[in-house]
Amino acid sequence: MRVITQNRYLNGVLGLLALGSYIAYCLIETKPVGTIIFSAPGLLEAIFLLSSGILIFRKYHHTEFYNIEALLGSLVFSGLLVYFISVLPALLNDFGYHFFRSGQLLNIYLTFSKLLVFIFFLFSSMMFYRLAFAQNSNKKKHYLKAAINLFGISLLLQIFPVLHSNMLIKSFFALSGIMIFFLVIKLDWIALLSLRSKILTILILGLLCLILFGITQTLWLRQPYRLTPWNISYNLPLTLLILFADAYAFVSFLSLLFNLPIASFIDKKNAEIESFMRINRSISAHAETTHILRTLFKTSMENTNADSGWVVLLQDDREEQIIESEVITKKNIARLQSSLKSRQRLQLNAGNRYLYIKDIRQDPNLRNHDIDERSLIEFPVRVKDTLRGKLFLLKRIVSGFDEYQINLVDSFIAQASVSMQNIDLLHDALKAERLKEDLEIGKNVQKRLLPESFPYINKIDMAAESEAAQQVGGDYYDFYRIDENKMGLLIGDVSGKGTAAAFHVAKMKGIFQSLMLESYAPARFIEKANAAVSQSFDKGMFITLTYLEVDILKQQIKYSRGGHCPLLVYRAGNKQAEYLEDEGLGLGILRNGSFAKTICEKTLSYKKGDAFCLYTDGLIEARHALNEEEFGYKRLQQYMQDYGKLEAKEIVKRLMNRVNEFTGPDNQLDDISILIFKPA
Amino acid sequence: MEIITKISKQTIKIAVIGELDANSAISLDRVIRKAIQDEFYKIIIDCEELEYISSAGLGVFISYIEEMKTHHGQFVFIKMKDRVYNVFKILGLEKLITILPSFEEAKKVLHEN
Repeated sequence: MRVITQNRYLNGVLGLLALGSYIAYCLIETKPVGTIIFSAPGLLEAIFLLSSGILIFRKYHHTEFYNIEALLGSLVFSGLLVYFISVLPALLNDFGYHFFRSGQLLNIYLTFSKLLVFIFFLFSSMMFYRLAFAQNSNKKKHYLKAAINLFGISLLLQIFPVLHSNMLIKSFFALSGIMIFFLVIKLDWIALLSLRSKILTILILGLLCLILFGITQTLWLRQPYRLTPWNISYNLPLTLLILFADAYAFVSFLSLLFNLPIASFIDKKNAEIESFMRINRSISAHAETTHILRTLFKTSMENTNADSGWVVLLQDDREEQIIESEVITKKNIARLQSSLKSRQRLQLNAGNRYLYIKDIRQDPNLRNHDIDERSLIEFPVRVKDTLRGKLFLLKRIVSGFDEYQINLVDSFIAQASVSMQNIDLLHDALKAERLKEDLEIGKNVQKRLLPESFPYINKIDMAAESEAAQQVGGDYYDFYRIDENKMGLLIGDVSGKGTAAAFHVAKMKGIFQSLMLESYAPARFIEKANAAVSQSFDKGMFITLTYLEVDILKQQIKYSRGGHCPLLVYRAGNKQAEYLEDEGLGLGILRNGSFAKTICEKTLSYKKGDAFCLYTDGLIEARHALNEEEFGYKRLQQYMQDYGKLEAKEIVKRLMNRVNEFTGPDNQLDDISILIFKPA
Repeated sequence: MEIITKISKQTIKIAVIGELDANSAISLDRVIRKAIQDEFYKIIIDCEELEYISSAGLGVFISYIEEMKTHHGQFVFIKMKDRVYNVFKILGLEKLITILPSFEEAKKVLHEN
């Protein structure tokens, strides 16, 4: 807030200074007589010019010129006003109104209008200066410094007429000439104008030139009722301003005039750049291929001045779909497309960028079509090597498309293709992300299929762990409390792995749980499970399964093996572990009555401290990261002999770590499950 | 990878090479289905260079066992390595299919002399 107040305060001071110095100047203004050392009017004029110059500078320095016509228009308007005011006494006199009878009043009026002329030239010079540097800001500082220096010298000469000498004046004009020349050729802003605003600007500039010259002329000519004549060498600051303003206005008027013939070309180039940007933007606005094709079509129509056309979208499994068409009927499109198809195969697939029919009426395939258009061009829109769309443009003249236009459309297509590829990548990324989420959900669902904790069964110490190779897997274990002294326990493995296997596991859990409720003996359980598997699984899918029934009172287990990895038993008595390799066939392999004959049920006694290890083949077939060796049965046996005496939880944990060390990180090929139970 | 050798009008030999996992099982399945379509119901599977077989690989053979039987045909596996044989044995398959040490014995079993 404070800064603004200070600024306003400063502006006020400058304004007052300008006005005060000017009034004083008006009152004491005399024509320079002979050579005097110090000119009071000169000083006042300098103060006036400086303060009003700074005021204008401060006011307009930071405004951006987007609207050049408006800027020049305001110059024209203020110029007209100044001109009118300065010639008013002469006009009145010509019409017989002798308003300014007293010479004193006329003098005051004319001095006042001279003030306005000063301000006007100061203002227009500064505006032209800003215009000259509308674009370039780096060199601006040097030019500004030079201009201020020059202006300062002119002011000094004004204050001290004694310094005037022929040499000095000549070199001053030479310097000013060079300075003005370099400023006058800074016309970058002309290039930025569109054709329409160029024409408008020429008109405004022409008018401005007339006004500037008119005012200059009234200053120049010595006539009654006109402004006090302006002495070129005795009013250097004004001379400088007039020279610059007149020269700049005139030169820009001329350059604009000569620029007009190529203006439409520059416009076209700008439109092309705009088109590229539009295609680029279309990706972020709507991530859709159809939108890009539509933008491509419109842009190509505009930039080639085609009379009609259409664009089609091609998708893997769908028919060609017309997305957009202009000034052509669907019927004609269909007829043209079917006629083109035979040619297309010959020409487009040969790697050509386009198919160009210069005269439809001379073309053997299209001759029969009764349409106004004479030339047709077809562009394939490819993303990587797949055809994603086709662009058709037509003109009513023969050979309507030149090399330049074809190249232009080609580069539009290249741009659109990049955008479409980006969309593809975006979609793929989204899809992968969704799939990952789905698998994560599957993982959580499957975790719930496996028992999280074991219900308390008297005198049994139990632990289990399962690791899927992929997010989800085909391993399964579960148990069922038959009564306080008996429980059923099963471990299984569905063939295959990943999502398909996990899906079957979910199905099997239902079957197994309902069978467990029946408290079948192991052999019967396996037989029933085989029947269920045979009914609900495809051929070639099978399940391996081991079912155990533990009787705590009798200290016995009864078990049947359905093609699953053999049970490993650790005996605390001799600290040895052995595999129980009994007969048994996987479930779902034999789907008729003959399966029952393959089942074998055995009973085994155990003692306190023994340990039973149930596992899946993923543990045995786990491979070493470097030498591809399998973890194997021997290592597992040795492990149980070494660690079978530990608690169940500890055995599972250490075994899992051991296998992970063996395979190395990210090298698990199959699902691994381990279940240990120890009678305590 | 598979190498197919025709032995007689109804017998064919398929040599399975490398690892028979979920991916290569698809290709093997295609080969066997084609053989059965062409009415080769006696198929000798040469396992001399088969290093590993996964459950998906086993599934391929299992899915055709019954169909072959109805056409009085069968799979005969030869020159199987211990590691692969063990997988067959644990699953109980060695009781259902014929596993022989040599090609000559396989021919004898299939009456191909």
